[in-house]
Amino acid sequence: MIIGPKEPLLVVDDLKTYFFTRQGVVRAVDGVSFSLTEGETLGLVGESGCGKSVTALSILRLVPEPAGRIVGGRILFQGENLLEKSESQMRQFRGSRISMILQDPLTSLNPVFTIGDQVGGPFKYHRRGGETRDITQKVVDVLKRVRIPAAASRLKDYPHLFSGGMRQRVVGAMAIACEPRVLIADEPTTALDVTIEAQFLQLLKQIQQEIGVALILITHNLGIVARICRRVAVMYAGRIVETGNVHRIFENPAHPYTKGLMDSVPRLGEKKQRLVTIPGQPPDMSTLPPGCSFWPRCEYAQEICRQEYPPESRLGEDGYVRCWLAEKQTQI
Amino acid sequence: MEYGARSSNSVKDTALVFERQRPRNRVLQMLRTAPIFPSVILLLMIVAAIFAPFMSPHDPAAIDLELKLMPPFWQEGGTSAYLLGTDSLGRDVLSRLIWGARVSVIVGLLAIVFAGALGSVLGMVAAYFGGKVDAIIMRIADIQMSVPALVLALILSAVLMPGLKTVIIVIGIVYWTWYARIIRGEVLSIKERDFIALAKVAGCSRIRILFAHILPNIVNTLIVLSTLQLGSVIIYEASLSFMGLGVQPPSTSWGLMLSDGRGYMTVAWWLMTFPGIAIMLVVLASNLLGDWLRDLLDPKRRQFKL
Amino acid sequence: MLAGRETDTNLVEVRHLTKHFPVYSGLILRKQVGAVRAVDGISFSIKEGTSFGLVGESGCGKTTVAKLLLLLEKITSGSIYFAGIDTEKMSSEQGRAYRRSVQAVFQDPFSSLNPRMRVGTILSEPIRVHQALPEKDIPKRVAELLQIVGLRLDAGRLYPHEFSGGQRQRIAVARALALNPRFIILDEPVSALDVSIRAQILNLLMDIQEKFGLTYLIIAHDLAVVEHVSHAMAVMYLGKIVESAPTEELYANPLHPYTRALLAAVPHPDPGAAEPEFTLSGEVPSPLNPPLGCRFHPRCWQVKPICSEEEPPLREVGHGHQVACHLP
Repeated sequence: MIIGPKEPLLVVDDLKTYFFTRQGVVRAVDGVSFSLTEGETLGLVGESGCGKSVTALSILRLVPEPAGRIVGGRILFQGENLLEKSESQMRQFRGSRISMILQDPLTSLNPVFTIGDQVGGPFKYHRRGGETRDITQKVVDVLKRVRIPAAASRLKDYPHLFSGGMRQRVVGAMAIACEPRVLIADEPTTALDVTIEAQFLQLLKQIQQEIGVALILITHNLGIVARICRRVAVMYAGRIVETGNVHRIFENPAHPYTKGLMDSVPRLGEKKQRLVTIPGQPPDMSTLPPGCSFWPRCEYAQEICRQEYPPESRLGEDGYVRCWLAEKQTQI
Repeated sequence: MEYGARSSNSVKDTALVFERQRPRNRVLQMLRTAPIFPSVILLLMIVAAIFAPFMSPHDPAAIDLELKLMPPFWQEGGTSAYLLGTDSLGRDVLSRLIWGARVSVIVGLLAIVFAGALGSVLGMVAAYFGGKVDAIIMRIADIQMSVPALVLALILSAVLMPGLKTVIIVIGIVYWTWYARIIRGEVLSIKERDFIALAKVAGCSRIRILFAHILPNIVNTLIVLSTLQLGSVIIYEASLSFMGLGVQPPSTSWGLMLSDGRGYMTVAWWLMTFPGIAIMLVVLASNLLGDWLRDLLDPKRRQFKL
Repeated sequence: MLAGRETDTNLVEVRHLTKHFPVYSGLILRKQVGAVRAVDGISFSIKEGTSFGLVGESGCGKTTVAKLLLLLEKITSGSIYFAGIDTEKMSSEQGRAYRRSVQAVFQDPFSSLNPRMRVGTILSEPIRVHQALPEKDIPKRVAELLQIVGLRLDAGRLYPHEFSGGQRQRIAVARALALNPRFIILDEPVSALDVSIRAQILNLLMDIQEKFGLTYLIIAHDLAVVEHVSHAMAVMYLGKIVESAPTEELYANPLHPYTRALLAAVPHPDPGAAEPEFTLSGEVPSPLNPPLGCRFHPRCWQVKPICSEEEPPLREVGHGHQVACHLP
């Protein structure tokens, strides 16, 4: 586990979250470690089923029970281990010190309550308001912060009167209402049009600068990662296979999966003859192969890859990769 | 060569490694989760219905006034020859119970098949063709549903001669609307799915789409609906027979037994109690089984496909 | 990669295509109070053997164009010509031939396949419907199709849910190929797939285009994908085409402000890339009440008075490049 130069705000140490189903145990998150410092943006990249969403839910202890359970590891937030907290203690954290926004703006808001009510909710619940009119003022302020035009006059509007992009901003307002230290955004722009997405990303950056919140951005879109993340963690089949500074990862990906992803994405302005692909498909999480879970798709796979999962090999200041190829190279 | 594969070696490895553990025998696995109590009850009922002539200790219609109103064997005055006692005409309650099961099963099955077939066809047609067709069918259903079911039964029975056939027809006519509504809802959502549009693009006729594409996708719902309805239908038949509009003597039905026993409630508790318990158990069993089936076949679980 | 068998004939020609969806109000006596002008007089043509890309954001009408071309919706006005034949004036024989020649692959691999049908049946159904092959030859054809798209030959016995998203999309492609079509409409064929699978499917589509001389209409919102796979393309906004050109020309020289905004908005997978020069503000207006004059003018940073009065026509600016904008 690598700790950055500053004292980290959030440390996830060897997190393991398993789902116990009739077909067997799904190791959705199998030993994930990373850290987040104040105000930094970490991109959590991976495809469907890799465990990035479950990681986010685990941090907030919202993993669906009884099938899902956090079975190991520590989550240290400002030094306190969240996994040791009781449910009522966790409720103090959720929404006020650690917050989350999700992918679908359509279902993130309750259709039968006004946005004034919904955005006021976090203030009321965490007792950050005072009198009702104080809360109203705070609601208007936070809506302005997410650049909702004519915020004061829209408090009594219902969600269906807002477009997808606007709704996502309202959700963002709810998330930052109590000025959390960590904001987790799980695919926040996947459902938005590209020009609206650009607006939203710009907004995220601005908010970050204004209130200094650290951001964990979960996405499969490498372009977004490049635009707003400082550090990146790449996940595959429940584990982080590579992490590091965004420039290093894009210029010099160490893990074959990362490299494959970078190569296979069509880029504007660069037409190729034929796209490079990663053969095969993402694994079925209930039946993972032994050894490194990527070996069936890896062109560099060797005997040891099929037998043992590679350990972390340090890369640069604040990164590592889990690959036998890299391990061998660092040993040389 | 498989697209995207580097070499056939890695493809084989992939196939081996990713071979999902498919349950050897899906059906068996499925059945293992079935709830015991309802299954046993319903099985018992079906066995009784089929083997009534062999299982029944006496002729259910045999009248012997000497033996009338005998209590069950564990009470004073009862004998083990007539385990559950006899009714006002000296007929064996147990035998009548067993033969009554036959009526309930027949009525239950046939009525449900009739109502189900009528209701689902009309529901499918209404949903798929939409527009005026939909409006007409649904208005007919609405109008019919606004008439209380028993009133409807009375009217229909006045027109047709009371009897087993009539009961089946009446139940069919009363219950189709319920099926139609639910199936219509299902079809409305299925018809928006891409594979339906793509079937049109491939050149399928509307009829073909209805029967080859839509129907198989509503079968699960139909099965669950029918199981859940079984109890209701049996009660309905009992009510009809109770009022004299259903099965006629010398045939036996649980509803008829209830009706016969009503006048003797205070002196011969066993005449109403046993058919009442039978009805209750069967209805409970069918509801529980229906719940289990519905959870099992829920597409979201995607484990089992019938 | 984009070779195909290019000819000079237009396989598909669309002229002034318009589709309005009426909006009713009133409970008993339903009156039409307006119309959603989903597609409002667009024209383009696709040369045989090439791919034509159609891009735009939600509400622009591109999916409606696909539905019109697939005869899933009725045209309000305008015409579609396929191999020179007007689709509104086809005999029933020609109609059936159209169905054999024009196929589609849709976005969602999970709802594109009937979950209750085995893959083999799904693939053979179009053949059976058109009685294109005698029954005994069908299994061979199914095996052939599976091989073309790179699936196991025994996949025919299995049900769709036993396959991953990428594999299901291959099945969808195989089905589209079953009757040897000439034209395939691909509506967001890879956007619902994992990133590492997209390249596989795109390569597959390109390979079979070359092999079978297919013509594609590719509808997508991912501009990098469209750049990669199309020879020519058009940008749609609120039911109208605002710019169209050969792909290379469009990306090298975007003229319409909306096209430029779209290109600027795409995040590049390159941390060193410069910040976008500008970000488009505002939202896409409702197609019920499109703005007067140029539909883009409320969001345009170069707007002039004429833009709110007159709708700019699509005019040629050379190299097959057309733009609908008042600005020079």
